[in-house]
Amino acid sequence: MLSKDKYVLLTLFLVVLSTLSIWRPWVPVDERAENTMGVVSHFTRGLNFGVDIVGGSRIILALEASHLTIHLPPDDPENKYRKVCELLEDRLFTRVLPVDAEGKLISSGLPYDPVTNIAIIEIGLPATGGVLSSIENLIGDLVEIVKIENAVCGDTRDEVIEILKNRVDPTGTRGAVLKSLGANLVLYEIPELTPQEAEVLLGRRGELEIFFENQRVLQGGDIIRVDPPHPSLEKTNTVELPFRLTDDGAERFRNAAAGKPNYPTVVYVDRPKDGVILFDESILDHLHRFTYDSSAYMFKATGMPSEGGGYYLQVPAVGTPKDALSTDALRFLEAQSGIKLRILLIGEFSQRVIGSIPKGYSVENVARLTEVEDWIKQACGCESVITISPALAQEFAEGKVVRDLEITITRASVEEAMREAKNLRTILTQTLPVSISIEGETAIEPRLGSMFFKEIVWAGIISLVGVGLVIYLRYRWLRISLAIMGAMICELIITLGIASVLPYNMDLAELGGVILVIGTGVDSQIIITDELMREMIPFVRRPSMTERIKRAFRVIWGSALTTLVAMIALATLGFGAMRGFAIITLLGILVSVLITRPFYARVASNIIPGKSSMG
Amino acid sequence: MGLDLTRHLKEWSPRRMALIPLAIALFFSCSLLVFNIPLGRDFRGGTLIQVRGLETAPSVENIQLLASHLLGASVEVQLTEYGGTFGVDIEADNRDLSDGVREELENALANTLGISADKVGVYNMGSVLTEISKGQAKNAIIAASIAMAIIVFINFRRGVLVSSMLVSIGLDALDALGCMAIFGVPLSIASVAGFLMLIGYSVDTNVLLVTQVERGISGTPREQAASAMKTGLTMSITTLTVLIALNILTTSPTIAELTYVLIFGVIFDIINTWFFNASVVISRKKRREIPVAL
Repeated sequence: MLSKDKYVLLTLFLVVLSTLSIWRPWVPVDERAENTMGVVSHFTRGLNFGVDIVGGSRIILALEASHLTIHLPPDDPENKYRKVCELLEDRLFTRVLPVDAEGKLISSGLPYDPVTNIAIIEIGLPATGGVLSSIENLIGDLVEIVKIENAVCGDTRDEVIEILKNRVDPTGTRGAVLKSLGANLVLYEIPELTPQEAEVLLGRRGELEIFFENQRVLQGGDIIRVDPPHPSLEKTNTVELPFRLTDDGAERFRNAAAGKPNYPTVVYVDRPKDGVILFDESILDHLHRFTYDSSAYMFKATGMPSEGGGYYLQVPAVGTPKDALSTDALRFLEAQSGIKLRILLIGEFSQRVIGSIPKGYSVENVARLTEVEDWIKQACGCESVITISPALAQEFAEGKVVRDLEITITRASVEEAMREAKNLRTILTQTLPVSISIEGETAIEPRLGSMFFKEIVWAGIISLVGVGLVIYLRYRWLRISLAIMGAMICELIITLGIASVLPYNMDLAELGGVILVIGTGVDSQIIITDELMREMIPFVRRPSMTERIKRAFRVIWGSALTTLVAMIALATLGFGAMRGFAIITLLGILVSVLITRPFYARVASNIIPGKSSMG
Repeated sequence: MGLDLTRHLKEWSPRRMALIPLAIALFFSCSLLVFNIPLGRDFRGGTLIQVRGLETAPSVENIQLLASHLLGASVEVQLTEYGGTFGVDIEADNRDLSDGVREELENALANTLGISADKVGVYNMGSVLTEISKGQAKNAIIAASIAMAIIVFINFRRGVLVSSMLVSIGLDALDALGCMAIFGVPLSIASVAGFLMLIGYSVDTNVLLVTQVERGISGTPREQAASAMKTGLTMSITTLTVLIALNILTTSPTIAELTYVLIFGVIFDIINTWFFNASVVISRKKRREIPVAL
């Protein structure tokens, strides 16, 4: 009698589909889930579990910023202060913020103490000897440097945390947690991933620079927004990443590029401005498009004179044989010391070379790429080279300001190019104000382990039995009680089924949410049942079945809509700390309102008049 | 049935009905002035204690006992592993430990685990909610409340009904806050989540009452309200069954905080809906019906 109703069929179909999606017998059992959940994990292979159930990684990050205390001279301190800030910003390429004696950001008023003439400046560089000496070189004769210490103000730290959250877990689906650990430390926790994988997500700092004719014309701040990348219509294996410039930036770019078609425009991301490249001379034999200009100490891309004659890669570089540091290289490195802080190695050098590098430098290897020229570009942070199309150059020459430009990225396949473009887009839109380094990393065990899982399973069983008992005591009618419980179990399975295809992790709160679905979902069944049962009271004017079901649905919708809005609000709270819970609850409500309620209404209206006609 | 839980709806004057929930609300307002709701780790941060470089995996339960004894607060212990050595991370609610406590803790952990005290690190841990996201949280709650008010208004479009429902929902939240203060349930993201769910739940029972009385087809308003209350009570009891099972049977602080708020809220929602809101709805309906009867 029921099988003809489409809702009943739909519900049963969804229950079967959800069961399969949760169970997924064709997928291997997750080992970590099995350790915590035992045999239950064999039947829940489709669900992703979070840090509480399966463990994950915990990384402590240090923000590389420092507070520089300076004493301004009594004559015209304001001007001197401004000068210092400009020098630090322009020459050290770092963000400069005024902070007070307690290390808090000064957002208004004088950026220094007018009585003592002491100013504290936050810079996005670590307080190392190298940084200190280059600061001394820059501003030592303007002001007296009192001290420099590793520190970061709360505002910068919060800003970094928000950006990193967006970077590692933009949708909140991974369940990443980031919080400050006081001072300059940040705790970063993420389920399922190994520490190495977790690190990759953190990405780079993401500072953009665009050079034209070897002059920097645009910076990250000139970009208003970066749009999603799309495959190029003209070139194969190429993806275009559109971006929009500020008026100021667009004008600067127009002035630089007017009437210069096919000139290369070089895009850098995280160019090592504080670095010098030390390369193995033998790589020069493998260069095709590049040459090394030994008078400029830079690599140069060759090009036609009509196309601007090529461009320099904007990082100083010096070559040496790989078993001994040449005198020329040594002299160059000594001259650069104090201005540059890092040495980037291209090639495998002997200990003798590393040992003879002048003091004050830190030494890093640049990860090797198969193509030597790619390796060099990688070391320089050169992300892509765009050429100005003749049409665009013409528009520029006519004085037009074009705000929308594109970065073209060509890789071995269009998928690879697309991945690269998406990555670049994330980085360009979220530049970190300071660098970060990794202080410590560990893999963490499930937070509460198998004990918690057993508890939650028990809570679920007891809830089901308890609710069943309450329902039976209220109605004293086995058929209707079974129907209510059946609808509730269908709702539970479908909710979990949908959750299994979403990229959300099931964690403590989410599992709690699943059980709450039992408690809140059954309420609508009770409303419908009572509405239908009112007909059975004698001497009552009897509205039609549809009218009564409609009235029940009105109550259910009012509450469902409110909870929907509340859960959407919760999902945004604290960057998704309870987002999984909110999603599970949302799903529970939607499943209940759209699927199991109509299903139950059909089933119950078949049972209830049956009894009334019998009685 | 010997016990009629809906008797007040049939016999009491509306004024008498409204008095009980208002007295309770007054009591909880006072308790909010006397006790403070503690801020949880999500909002005010806590302490992270890290032990590294252990050869074997230590017993989490022993460390949990030791740490919560020394710190006199609830702690969460987590086992860590990296490159073949083990470690423990202990997260505690306390903040800014004094040097004495810090030293005692370091020594006690070092002794128990058989390592030197310098392998123990103690950090002040910030809140999950940065200042930026605290602002977002506030906006989220305000937005949810406004949306709730709009939904209620669209559904009923009558000033008295809407405001009495909103007051009744507000009283639920106030009573739950008062209970949190008295029982020391901390304000955390989990308890905020509980509040947001409570709003939906309160709307549920209040809409049930108003729909039944306003649009009920037969019977007096009092009978309609009593009939709705039977449905509402069944709903509250099933919900409480689940909440109490979750609260008692699980040991997770997140779930405990979430369910405490909901348990308090659902219990007082029974009083606020079926006494306060019912009194307004019944007296309003009566006033309106007189001219019709004439």
